[in-house]
This record gives sequence, structure tokens and C-alpha cells, in this order.
Amino acid sequence: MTQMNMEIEAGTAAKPWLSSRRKQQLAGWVFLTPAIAYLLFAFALPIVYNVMLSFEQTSPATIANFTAPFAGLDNYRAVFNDPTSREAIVRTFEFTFLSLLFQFLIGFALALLFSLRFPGRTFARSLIIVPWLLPLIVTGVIFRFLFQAEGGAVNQLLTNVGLTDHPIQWLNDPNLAFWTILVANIWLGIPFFTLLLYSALQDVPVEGKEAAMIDGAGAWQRLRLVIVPIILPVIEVTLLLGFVFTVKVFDLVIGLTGGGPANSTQLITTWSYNLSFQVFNFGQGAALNNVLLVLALICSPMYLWLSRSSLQRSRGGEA
Amino acid sequence: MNGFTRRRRWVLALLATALFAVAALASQVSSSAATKITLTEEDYFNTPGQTAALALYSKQFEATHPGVTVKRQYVPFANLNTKLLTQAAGHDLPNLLAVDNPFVSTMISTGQVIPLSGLKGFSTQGYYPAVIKEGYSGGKYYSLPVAGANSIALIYNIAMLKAANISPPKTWADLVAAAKALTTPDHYGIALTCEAAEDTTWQWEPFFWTNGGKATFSNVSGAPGVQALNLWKQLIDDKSASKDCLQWSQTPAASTQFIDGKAAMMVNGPWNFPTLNQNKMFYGKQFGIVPVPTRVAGQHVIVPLGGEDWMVSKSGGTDAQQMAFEYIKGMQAPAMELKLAKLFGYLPGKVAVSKQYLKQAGPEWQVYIQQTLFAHPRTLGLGVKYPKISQAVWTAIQAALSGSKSVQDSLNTAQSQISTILKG
Amino acid sequence: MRWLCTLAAAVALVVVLFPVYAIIVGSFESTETLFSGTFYWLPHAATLDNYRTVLQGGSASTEQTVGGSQLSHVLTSLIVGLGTAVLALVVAVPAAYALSKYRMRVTILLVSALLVAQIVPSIVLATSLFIVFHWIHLVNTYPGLIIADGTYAIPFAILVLRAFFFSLPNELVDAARVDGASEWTTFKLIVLPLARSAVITVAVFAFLAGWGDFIFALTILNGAGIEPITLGIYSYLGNYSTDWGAVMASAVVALVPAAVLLVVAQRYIASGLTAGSVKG
Repeated sequence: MTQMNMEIEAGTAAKPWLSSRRKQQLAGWVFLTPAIAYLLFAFALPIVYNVMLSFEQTSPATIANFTAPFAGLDNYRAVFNDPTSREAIVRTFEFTFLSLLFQFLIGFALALLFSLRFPGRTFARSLIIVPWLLPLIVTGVIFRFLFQAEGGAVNQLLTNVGLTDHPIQWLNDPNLAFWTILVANIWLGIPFFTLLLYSALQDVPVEGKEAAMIDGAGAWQRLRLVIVPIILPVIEVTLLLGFVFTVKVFDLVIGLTGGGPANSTQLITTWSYNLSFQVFNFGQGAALNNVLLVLALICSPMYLWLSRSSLQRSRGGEA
Repeated sequence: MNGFTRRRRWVLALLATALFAVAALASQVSSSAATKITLTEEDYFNTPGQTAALALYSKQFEATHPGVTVKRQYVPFANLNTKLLTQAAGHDLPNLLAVDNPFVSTMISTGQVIPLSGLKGFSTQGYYPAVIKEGYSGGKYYSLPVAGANSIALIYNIAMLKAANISPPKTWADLVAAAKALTTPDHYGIALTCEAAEDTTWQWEPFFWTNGGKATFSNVSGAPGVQALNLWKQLIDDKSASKDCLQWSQTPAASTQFIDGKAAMMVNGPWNFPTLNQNKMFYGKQFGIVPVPTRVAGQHVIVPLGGEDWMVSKSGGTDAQQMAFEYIKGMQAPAMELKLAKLFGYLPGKVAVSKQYLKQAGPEWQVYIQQTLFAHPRTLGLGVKYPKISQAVWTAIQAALSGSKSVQDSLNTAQSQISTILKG
Repeated sequence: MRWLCTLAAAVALVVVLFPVYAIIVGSFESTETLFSGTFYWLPHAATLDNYRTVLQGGSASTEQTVGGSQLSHVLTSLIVGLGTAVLALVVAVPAAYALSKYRMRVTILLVSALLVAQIVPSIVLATSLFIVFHWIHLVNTYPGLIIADGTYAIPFAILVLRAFFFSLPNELVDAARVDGASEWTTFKLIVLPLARSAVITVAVFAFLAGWGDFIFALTILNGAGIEPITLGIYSYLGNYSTDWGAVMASAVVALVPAAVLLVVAQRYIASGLTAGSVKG
């Protein structure tokens, strides 16, 4: 503690004329500068370029130039009149909602499980992140291998156990393929939710839980009334980021189905990729991608509003 | 607590320093080559034969052109076109690009590749017309073949056909019957390709075009298309072909089915010869080749023309462009063409050379050489429209074979898309 | 009761790790076996050829495809991963602190900007970043790739750390301020140690993002020296032939260093917030 006091005193000698409030504002801006610089450099230009593209008449002949003939809302109209684009948008929402639901439930359950003391818990917790060690491409390709109708491990297992007598067309049946990519994506997201929620659970002070136990609260009540409120900011941001990451899923779907069969697993990003790089309608591809930007602009005030209580509590004031 | 923070700072500082050191070193290496000419090259070749061929030629080229280094980058097939378009957008294409021939028109239209006509030593003399035409635009030629051309035919397993007592099919009816007879619990009759990519359209084209389908696909929902797609549908419905074809590429997925003995027949090309031989399958002993079956006996088979073409980009100024062209030119010399074609498993692009090739190469080339003489370049008359049309076609094939739409409905959808594409 | 937990954890692990198990088994099988149409639960006709191909480079007895030795690629991926983690921390930790502890009007704007930034698909960013990097000569360099890989991690890191910082008690921060500490000192001495678990979690994610990136590596690098393992694996997947055995073996080779790093990092996540508390 003496060490820390000495350092604090050394730090205070410097600026006695700044008020505490001004100091905070200044420090805030200094702390934010790298982030703002990075955002401007790495994101601002691409986003502006993409928005511009969506209003232009594009083709391979125009991509090497920065500007192309103005096309007004044509690209947007074309995208919304195209049945495949509309289906891709709807499918992305279904996909995202179902993914998040299961990823959260499974991830939270595992996080709670790992918080308990049992033999092998450290080992188990270290292993849960292994799915993320694989590059996404390899994951997509492996899942395709496992879900093959003939010779795939999944069908073999089901046949051995006796649950089915003929090979299930996981990836070849347009009605099943969606569920297959959903399962693969849920699998992929489990480490993310588990780790973040587990980290959050470690932050919950033991005293609060003990106090609740003394008051006679059962495990479920402790969860609901003590634990969840404390880790709510992390739950909020995990769901938010899970949403953002899932809505732009690309590599996994490309690796697994390529968007097929017959476009039955096209999501916004995969169909947009197709529009841009397969049929060279870069403007339409950009327009479809901008649906994602609009989504983000809708989500952000929602998230800020939902998390405002966490924000108030954090900034000092009401506890 | 303080100890940890201090230690952590050191670790971070160390990491940061290491990082910058490496980055500095990397930039050093690249800047020291400023005075010579470095040619960058991108392609998707990765068989031992293809890689050996390119390495062999590059070494020879560097020896005869002191001061020139050739840096090759392999890009996976599925990503090459995207990467090239991105580089075109950034005005940063490699000096040399080996492009799949249906994509040549697209690269020309980006305006980032240079015409080869007019460069010293350029000539289109002696080539098969189809091989040269893909790169022709606005009165100039923009490409030359890498190692020649290829096409597809029906490859069959001799032992399996003998066991089922059937002869190689000539007509569609033969094909359906043969495939059915050849389907046993151990193997399918035929391995098709129907993934969501160009090679599906490519595999279907001989069936469609030979049956009266137009090169522009403007009658794909008429009788020619419906009959051709019904043929494939029947093979799937008869269970003579696996529905997993919806995931299979032509090579290596479908070809491996054949090589592993899981299918008795496949439609495929001569680039498979090295792999077949490696797996102890030889022409005339284990596998045979016949032209793609036609609906009616005696119809003239039209196959699509395959192969890759070299193009030169604007990058690097006239010196680099000229040197890049020298690189390409050297490959077109008859002796080199012969060597490369053998390693690639392609048919040489020049008529005289391929005649010589047939003498040296085995009888397994008979069918392919005949077919390639009349092969149809896919983008002829269509240019940049071809990839869009191809996508409409493979989507229709997938829809019909997966059962989500009837054959006629799938083709009707494709037809309306294609009409729009052809108009605009 | 406790053994029930172990059982539950074991079941979860079996399901989660099964694809990885399949890869490990597959890496010991030849490509022919992999394509034979039967899935083997234990390596069938086990062979070390794939590892020979991957570690020694060139074609061993599997003469299907040719790629270089993957070991240098693993080193490259490690550098890129660590670089991304460092960059993410340097940018995100202070920013998250400012956005959670300070009352600033720009917060709403920045949080929205971060969400918009994070939702842009990488393929869209790749094309534009390539054009920008071409101008400023960052194409085919480590810094360029690391900056690009940062796009996976930085907005995410800022938002996550911000949420974690919300739960840091204000009493400590206020106490330090009352004692006269500068903002930087407060940040350094109090916040960082307390949020260790969250910071390391975020660093792990950032590392894995840089480690497993494919699209930026593919777009920004042109083969003149820098090649991470994700591109290396792809040299076995071709249009004309595929060496599945080598792909599996490469994936396993790629797993090992990442796994080691993560086991080390896990120790820090594990210890949680035992250090420092309100009662002091």
C-alpha cells in the first residue's frame, strides 16, 4: 500500500491547476484517441466507399475507378425486388435469433457449470475454447465432411444407434441444410458465450451470494436476484456482440454449403458476396450489405437504452 | 498485485519490440530488390506436375534473363477471381495472372490488363482458333494459353463394366441403363458434379449444347434444356448417382469417387491422368474413355473449352510489362509447350504441337483431341455475361436435383434471369 | 453431486470437441481412407505421411499436392496473433475505461460507431483496406495485416471491456482521486489489475482473431514471404487435387501452439478477482 501511495503522490505533483472534472475530460479524450484514430483509418473509409458503391451503376469496368455513373436507388430497388435477396435477409434474421438463443442458453449453462467445484473443472474449462483454435475455413470443411450423406460421421452414428435406416441428406436437402448450418454455427459460438459469461460470473462478489443464502434464498433465486443483475451488463454486451457477429456470418456458410443447395442457405453476406464477385453487381452487393449497417444503427440506441442503468451505476451515483 | 502489473508491462513491451523488429526486417527485405525487375505472378495451380512445370520454367527464364526474379503466389481456385478483382480495384494486380478462361473477358473489362497485340513478338499463328478467341476484345488480343486447353469426356471403369456385361454408353438411353446396371451396394453408376459453382454448368454444357442448346443459353427452358436436365434428374432418381454431388466439385471431389472405386463412370478431363496413374489406373487396362453420350445416336458432340490463360497487368510500367510478356512468350515455344502440356495434363494450344503430342502421348488422348478441336469457348459472344448466366444455370440444376423445384420450373426461373442478362 | 457435474462437463466436451477429434483422427489417415466413404472412429491404416508432408514440405509419399513446410507459417501466424492482441489491448483498454467511467457526450456517438464498425463483414473491409494499403505501402507487410486483423477485435474489445468496467466499484477510483492521483495513475494502478480477467479474455479473443484470419491474409499478402497457417492450409486445397490428409495434419499442427498459449492464459482468467476488493 505504501508503494501505491508513493506513486500517487509522484503523479499528483504534476498538474495542480486542473479541476478534477477537467482532468477527467482531458484524460478521457487522451484515452479515446487511439480508438478514434483506428476507427477512422480502418473503418470510416471502407464504410464510406461501400455506401458510395451502393448508389452507383457498377460492373467490372467501373471497379478500378473510384466513381461510376450515379444510379440513384436502382441498386436498392433491385435488391429488394430480388426474391433471393429478400429470402437471404429473412433467413439471416431467423438464423441469428435461433443461434443466439441456443448459444446463450448453452453458454450460460456451461459457465454456471464451470463455476462449481468439481474434479476436472480447470481441465474442462481450458478445453472449451478449442473450437476457436481452428481457422473458420477448416471448421466449415470439417463439418461438411462430418455431415456427408454417405460416409459422414453423423449419419454413421445415427445408423449405428438405430435412429435412422437411410442416410439423411443434411446438406443436400434444401429444407435440412439451414438446420445443419445452424447447428454448426451454434457449435462455433459456444466458447464465446461460455468464456465471457464465466469471466463475468467470477466478478460476482462472494459476499452478495452468501448474504442471500443466509437470508434463505435457494440456488435459482440467488441466480435470478443476485447474480444476473450483477452480470447484466456483460449479458447485454454478449448478446449484442453475438448478434453482430452472427448476422455477418460468412466463412462458415461458404465452407459448408456455399449458399446452396439452390440458394437455400444464402445469408446476407454470402448472397452479397455472390452479387459482387460472381455476377459483378458490386453496387447491389454493397446495397445488400448496407442492410447490415442499418441494423447496427437500429441496435445501438436500443443497446444504449437497455444498458443505461448499468451506465448510471458505473459512473458513480446510485448504487 | 503491483508485481504482476510491472511484469505484464515488460512482457507487453517485449512483444511490441519483437513485433516491430520483425516488421522492420520484413520491409528491409522487400526494399533491397529495388534495382532489378521482379515479376509477381498469381495462379491456382497446385498439382505436383503443374507446380513442377512452373518452377522449371521460371528457373530457366531467370537463368536466361539475369536481373529478373519471378515470384509466384498460389491462390486457391475459389478465391483467385475475387482476389484479382480486388487487386484490380486497387490498381495493384500482379504482373502475370493465370486466369481460368471464362474469366478472361471480365479481367479485360476492368481495364487493368494490357493488350498483348502489338507487343514485340506477339503472334496468334498456329493456335486452335477457340484457344485464342477467349482473349479477343475490341480488335486486340489480351491473353495466351498457359499450357494449352482441355475438355471433358466420359471416363469409365473397365472392370466394372465388364462385370456388369455392358459396353460403354453412346446415347442417353444407354447411359441411364448402364448407370443403373452399374450401381451396386459398393459403388454408384456415375459420379456427377452439381455443386454451386462453374464446374457444374461446365459439366452440363456438353449434354445441353449437343442436344441443340444455344451457346447463349437462350433456349435453356425449351426442349434441349429440359431433356438434358431430365437426364441428370433421372440418374439421381434411379439412385445411379449420389445426391452428394450437390457438394462435389468436378476435381477433386467427383474424380476421387471414381478413383476410389465408388463410381463406375464420370465425366471429367485429362488433367486427371497423372492422378489416375499414380493410383495404378492406366488407360486401356483400368479405365477407358468415350465421348460424352448424346441423346440421339450420331449427334455431333459439343464440349466446352477449358484451360487457363496468361494475362499481363498494367503494374510496374512498360519494362515490367514487356518482361512479363517475354515470360509468356517463352512458354509458347513448341518445345516448351510440349513439355508443359505433358506436366499439366493438357492439350497443347498450337495445332502442330498437339499433333506431335498425340504421337508421343498415349491413345488416351484420342477422344480429347478430337473433342477439343470442336470445343466451344464459353464466353464467346457473351463476355462478362457468361458468369451470370452460368450461375443461373447451376442454380436451376441444383433446384431440380435437390427436389425443391420441378425441372421445368427450375429452368423457367433460369430462363427469365438469362433473358434479362442477355438484354442488359 | 460433484461427479454429476463432471459427467455433465464430460458430455459437453465430447460434443464440443468431436469435430476436433475427427480432425486428429483424420490427420493420421491417408486421403484415400478419408474419402473411402466410411468414417473411422480410430485411425484406419494409420500413417504419418501427412505429418511428413506438412512438416518437411514437398510431397512425401502422398504426391497429390505440393506445399512448403508449415512450421514457418505457424511462426507467422503466432506473430500476427500476438500483434493483433497487443494492438487490441493498446487501443481498447483505455477507450473502454473512458467510455465507462467518464461522463462524456461523445459516448453515444462512439458506441454507435463501434457497433456499425463491428457489423461490417470482413470481405467488404478487405477490398477497401487493400486499396488504402496500396496507397500507403502497407500491402504485404506485418503491420498492415495486424491493423487489418484488428478490425475483428477492436470494436468488440472496447464494448466488452466497457461492460466489464461497469462492474468495477467506483469507491476505489474515487478514493484514488481523493488521494490526488492523476487519471492515468488511477487507471494504471487500480483498474488494470482488477480487470485482469476481462482484459486477458479479450486479449485471447483478439489473438485468435488474428491467428485464424484468412480473408485479410488472402487479400493483403501476395506471397512474397509472409504466409500464415491459414493460407498454408489452403495450399493443399486445390482445383485439381486436394490433399485432405495434409489439411487435417496442418490443422493439428496449427492447433498446438495456440492451445499452449491459451492454457497459459487460462491460468490468469481462472484466478479471477481474488486480488483487490472494496474492503482493501
